[in-house]
Amino acid sequence: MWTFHAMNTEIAVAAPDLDEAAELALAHRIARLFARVERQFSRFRDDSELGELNRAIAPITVSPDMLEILLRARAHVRASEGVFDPAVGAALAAAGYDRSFAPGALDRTSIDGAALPAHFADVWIEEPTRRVFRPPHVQLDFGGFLKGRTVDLAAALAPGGCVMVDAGGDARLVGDGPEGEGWLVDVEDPTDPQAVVATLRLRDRAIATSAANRRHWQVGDTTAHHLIDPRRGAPAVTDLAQVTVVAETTEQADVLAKVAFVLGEEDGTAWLRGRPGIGAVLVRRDGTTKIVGELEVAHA
Amino acid sequence: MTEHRLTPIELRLYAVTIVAIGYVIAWAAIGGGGRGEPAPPVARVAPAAPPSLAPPPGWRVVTSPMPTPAVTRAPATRPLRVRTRSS
Repeated sequence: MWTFHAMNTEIAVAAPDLDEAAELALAHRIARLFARVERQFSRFRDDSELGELNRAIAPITVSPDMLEILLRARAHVRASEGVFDPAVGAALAAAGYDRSFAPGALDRTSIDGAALPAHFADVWIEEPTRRVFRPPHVQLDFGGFLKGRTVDLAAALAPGGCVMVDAGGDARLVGDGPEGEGWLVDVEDPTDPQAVVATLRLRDRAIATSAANRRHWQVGDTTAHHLIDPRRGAPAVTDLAQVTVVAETTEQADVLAKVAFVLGEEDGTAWLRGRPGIGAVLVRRDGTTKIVGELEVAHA
Repeated sequence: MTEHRLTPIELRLYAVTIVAIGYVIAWAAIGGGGRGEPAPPVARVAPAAPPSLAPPPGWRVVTSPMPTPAVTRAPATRPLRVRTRSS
């Protein structure tokens, strides 16, 4: 297994069917992919294409990669009826997430004011010419959705066999795992990072988790976090502490986990059950857990 | 009335001031670096035509490379499994 640091998290790559040299070469290819994607789509880099788009005051021509991400984002926005919305960049910044996250770095005594309501549907995309116009109040932030998409692209770089690409807990698991009995995934307890609420066994699946326990900061006496409810333009208020979703792709798992977290237990459960082939582990704020859909639980 | 004698530091300050004044006069005489052309009035920038960030057709923006992160071997004791959490 090989690791590197990108997108403000540790990326782990393992391909137990490959010899060491081939596995290392794969890890290097994946590291280059992550570097390229981060360079292009970081909200915090002035020279990124996303930074350029977020500053543009007139329609601009975007790259094919950017167009593809925008179209994929739009599909998720429509499928979730706006509960997933990457136009929350301004709301994130207004809530205090205005620089790359580090524990304590975003703490402040107050915030300057609320962001204007912004919706991805306000972004004008002309597919044939790749011309895009973003209204000034809309700031795009692809966040975990982009990380999930990159994990999926990274796993596709493997020549075959068993592959694990794990980006800080958002992972794509190809094949039957190193022992042929499925990949084991520990679902962390959001109230105790040393503890596990369940261990899952996955084959050819992807997994992603949304919770507010890691990326949070203080605004005066209140705690803010990075999971914005686009309907309110502010950090989500929910009865869930964590949502872990197992899906076909990491991108899908990330979006579904985020939406279920924002919707809360009742609506989130109903929403997940309406999607075939999806499994989920919900952790309520009181620490109890709930399994949704079909999941092979190795230990609970 | 006592005679005031300039100290060496004061003499140097006077000299620097005189040189600076001469430099400014000469700079103004040759056109202030504008090669003799008057500076364009601000009003010439049409407010209805903001700068476009899109490159012209056939052009593309060349970006500076981002260093590829260093790949290191995970400790042999680390189990080959995933620990999922919000990140």
